Amino acid sequence: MNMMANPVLKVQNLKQHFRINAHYTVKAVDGISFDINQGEIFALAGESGSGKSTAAKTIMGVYPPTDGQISFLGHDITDRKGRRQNADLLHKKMTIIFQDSAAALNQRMTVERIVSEPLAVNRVYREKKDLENRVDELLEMVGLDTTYRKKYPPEISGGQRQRVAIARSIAMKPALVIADEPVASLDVSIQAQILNLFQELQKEQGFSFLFIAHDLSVVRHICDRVGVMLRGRLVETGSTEAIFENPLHPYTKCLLSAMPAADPEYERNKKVLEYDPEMMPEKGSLQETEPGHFIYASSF
Amino acid sequence: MQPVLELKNLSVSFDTPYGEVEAVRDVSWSLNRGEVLAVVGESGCGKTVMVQSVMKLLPKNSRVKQGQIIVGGKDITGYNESQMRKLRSSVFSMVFQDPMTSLNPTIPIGKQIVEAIRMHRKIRTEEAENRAKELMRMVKIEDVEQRFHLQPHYFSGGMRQRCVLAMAFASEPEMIFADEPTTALDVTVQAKILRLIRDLKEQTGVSFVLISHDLGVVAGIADRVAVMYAGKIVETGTAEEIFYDPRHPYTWGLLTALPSLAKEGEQLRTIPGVPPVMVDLPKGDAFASRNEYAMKIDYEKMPPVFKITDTHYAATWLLDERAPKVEPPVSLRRKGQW
Repeated sequence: MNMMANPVLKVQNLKQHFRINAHYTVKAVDGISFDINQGEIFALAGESGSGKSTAAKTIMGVYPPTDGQISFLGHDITDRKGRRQNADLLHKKMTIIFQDSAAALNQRMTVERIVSEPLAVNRVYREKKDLENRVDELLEMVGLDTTYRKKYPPEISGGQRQRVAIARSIAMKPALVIADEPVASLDVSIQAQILNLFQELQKEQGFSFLFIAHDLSVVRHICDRVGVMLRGRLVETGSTEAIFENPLHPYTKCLLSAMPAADPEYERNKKVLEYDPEMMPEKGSLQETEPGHFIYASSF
Repeated sequence: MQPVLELKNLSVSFDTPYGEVEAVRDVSWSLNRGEVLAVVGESGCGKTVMVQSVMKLLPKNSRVKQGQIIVGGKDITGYNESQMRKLRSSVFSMVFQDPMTSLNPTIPIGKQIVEAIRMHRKIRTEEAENRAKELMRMVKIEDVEQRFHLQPHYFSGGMRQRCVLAMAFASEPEMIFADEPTTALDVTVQAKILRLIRDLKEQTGVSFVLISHDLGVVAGIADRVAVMYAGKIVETGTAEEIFYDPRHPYTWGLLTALPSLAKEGEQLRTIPGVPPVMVDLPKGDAFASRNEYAMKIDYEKMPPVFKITDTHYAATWLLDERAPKVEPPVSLRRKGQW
């Protein structure tokens, strides 16, 4: 099968520059390109300020990109015009999960209304009964029993709120789910539950997943491919295995060496590598070093 | 050797509209000089309350229900506010998760450290400034002469946390309570701050109580680890004992829930359910309903603390001689891997 044939999301040379004043422009995202294939989990990993969330927001359409191209299921959605033309597709097939579920869910709506809203807005079901059945089904899929239907978001715990957000996001059977740090604010044990849930749902529903995370151990656990970001650029992309077993870019090596491990002896003796971002060449591009594994290098 | 801090059967409770909540239940531990004790548990398990009760920083609706807090051999359980103020400026210091809660955004960093020094000792400004610069160098801030005059917003998150550590050292404390000091930081910065804490401990002989929800983070710097669940310490031991030979199913759960310990393609082992609501704790072991190894007795009677070695204790019925032999999850037996 040709994997490049029909990517769900294709991002080419995407740039998002914020002009602060005449002398200063923040290049939050500075020319990144990647594809997400059907049924694939792709992670954008990096430290705070690397531009991973800005990239996600630009794809979501929060702000129009400075340059570059985004296409979703073969439709160009780069600018406002493209978004308007494909509004129906975008509303139904691309959904978002945020880190802070308390802020993402309307406090004045019950769980059942939150989950049924996308279905109601898009008039998926004619009969109220069908809608209710679907809400029950969705809640069951994310592991919430029917007692949660009438609850309000502040009444339930963070992990359960994130489950509600997930139920809402998969209600329309999306092709792409964008999740911005969906487990970063959860306790380790709850985080594990949510990660397992993501894996199960993704297997069942087959949607593609753009996963934004700073925690590399999480990325390693659930993603198929990873892009490591630094200062608005992708410094290395490749399969999860390639990135973790055979990292090539010095920044990736530095990030991996800093990952905490639950092993006192290893931790006490480990050496954390350093990487100075200034060393990154100003002009460069991703170059393929082995099939499917790219690193950022100066292009001359 | 006399421990610098000792808690004996400490229980702390809050009066709330829903009834009495016992946030810390019958907790005992001691902290030796130059030791890092990590307290690990999920949010809401009482780790922060436990530390704040030692410093008496808790709100008015709380009280120490029973037990003793012993600092350097003296029982301080009944100390009033003015006595505590003296202790706080000489014995304890605290570092919080978000450095900006401890820093004033409008005052230059140097001045804030000088202020902390002069609160503790009446010395001349110049002398205090020199001491402040010395502290800033100690926490490995570069270009101290310039940075001394800069406000916190010129500093990165990791640098701010270093400044807060410098301030914590200003009063020459015997112990520092660090409440999730690296949770808000990036991994690379986190690794550096943890290393700094370890170096400072070795240089100065200060003891640390490190609060964290992530066992992975404390592995490298903790000498001893206490695992807390629903206000109780369920397992305590040296770092090696907790990570290589954990005995309590809750510790197993915390360790196996870490994605870095899971094998590829394998589902993460989770601790099912959520932590109990502290208002209305179930009878018996509070962990029983989430414990896949729970026996009948877990629902009836609170497990006593079993001794495994001189330093290793765990409160689970699995260690009773009548209990069936249970092997810990396989992934925990791979020593030296991550």
